[in-house]
Parts: sequence; C-alpha cells; structure tokens
Amino acid sequence: MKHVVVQSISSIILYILMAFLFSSFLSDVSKTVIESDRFSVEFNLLPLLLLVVFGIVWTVYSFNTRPNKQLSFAQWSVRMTEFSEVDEREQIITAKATKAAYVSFGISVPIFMGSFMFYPLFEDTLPAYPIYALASTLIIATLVYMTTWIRGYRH
Amino acid sequence: MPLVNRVKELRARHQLTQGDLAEKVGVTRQTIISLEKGSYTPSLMLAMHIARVFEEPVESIFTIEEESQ
Repeated sequence: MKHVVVQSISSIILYILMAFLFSSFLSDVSKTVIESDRFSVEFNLLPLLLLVVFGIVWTVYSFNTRPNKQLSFAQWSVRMTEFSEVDEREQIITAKATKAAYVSFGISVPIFMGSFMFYPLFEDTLPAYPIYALASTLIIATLVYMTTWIRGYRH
Repeated sequence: MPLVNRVKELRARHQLTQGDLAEKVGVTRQTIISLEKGSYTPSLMLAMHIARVFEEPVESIFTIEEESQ
C-alpha cells in the first residue's frame, strides 16, 4: 500500500511541477514577445530545474523500489508507477481503482469544459487556467485512484 | 452468497504462519489476511494452490455459506 501512496503523491507533485513549468513558460514568453522588438525568448529556469531534479530523484527511487524486480528499466519506464499488481488480489484492487479514476474523468472533464466558457472573463487574471485545469483533471483522477486503492486494500 | 473457508483452522493445524502460507501459494500476506476474514474471494487457481498445500479437496476448504449451514 505504501508503494501506491508514495507513487500517487509523487505523480501529483509531478503534475503540479509540470503545470508550474508550462504556466511560467507561457507567461514569460507572452511578456517577451510583447516587450521586445526583436524575437528573443527569456524564461524562468526555476520551474524547469525543480522538475528535472524531482524527475531524477523520483525515477531513481521508483526504479529501485519497483515491486517487480524482474522488470528492466526499459520495461518499467513505460508502465504507470502507481500500479501495484503483486498478486491476484492487488490486480483486482488496481482494476477497481483504475475504473474509479476513469469515471472521475467523466465527471471532472465536462465540469472543466464548462468552466472554459467563463475563461474570457478571467483570462487576464489567470492566463494559465487551461494548463491548471488539465493538471487538475489528472490530479483528481490520481487522488481517486489512490483513495479507491487504499479502501480496497484495507477491506 | 458469501464463500466461507477453513483456511485459518487448517493453517493453525499445519503450524503455518500467514506469511508462510502466502509464500507457499505465491500471494501477499495481506491476501491471506483478507481471505481468512472472508472479505476476499480467491480465484479458482489460488483456491487449488491452497488445497494442495493442505492436501485436502478444494470443496472441503471453501464452501458457499448456504451449503455449510
């Protein structure tokens, strides 16, 4: 269970850092294009640095603590690290949690789609809203996956 | 109709810990705990592995509650 919790929280941090990187890039690029005559792009390196450092630490930790030690790095890297299917019971729990996460997309995506109708009203205050909205759908699905998995495991 | 089982009783008789049985049948200890609590219904394959460990027929270990009453 610890593996699923750690990996789900790590994924959520990764989505937040990605959203931070893209929103920062978007705001910096917009400023650069407006403020200069020449085409030059400047952007804050901090979000990228944070993402790279976190990505390296997460990859090393996740690979070393992978439940199935027989998986090579190439095989492991194309799988979702939140999945834990050590035995048949965990496979069932993972299937249920994945289903719940899929259902959460069916609810959160239409809500965020609807919220885009009002985006022109707050575009100036929150220009990166679409990036955070997309990140939120992933974060919600990951939280649903994690809570369903924990509930199923404790049952 | 829930499935009832005699895993806990047989495990005690064979002097096996939950971890020992889990290792013998290739599942986690948590799965054996859930099985003994009756909150998890095992696959036919797992039930047969357990029956092999205890050297008893599957139907004598796992029964549908209605039948056992």
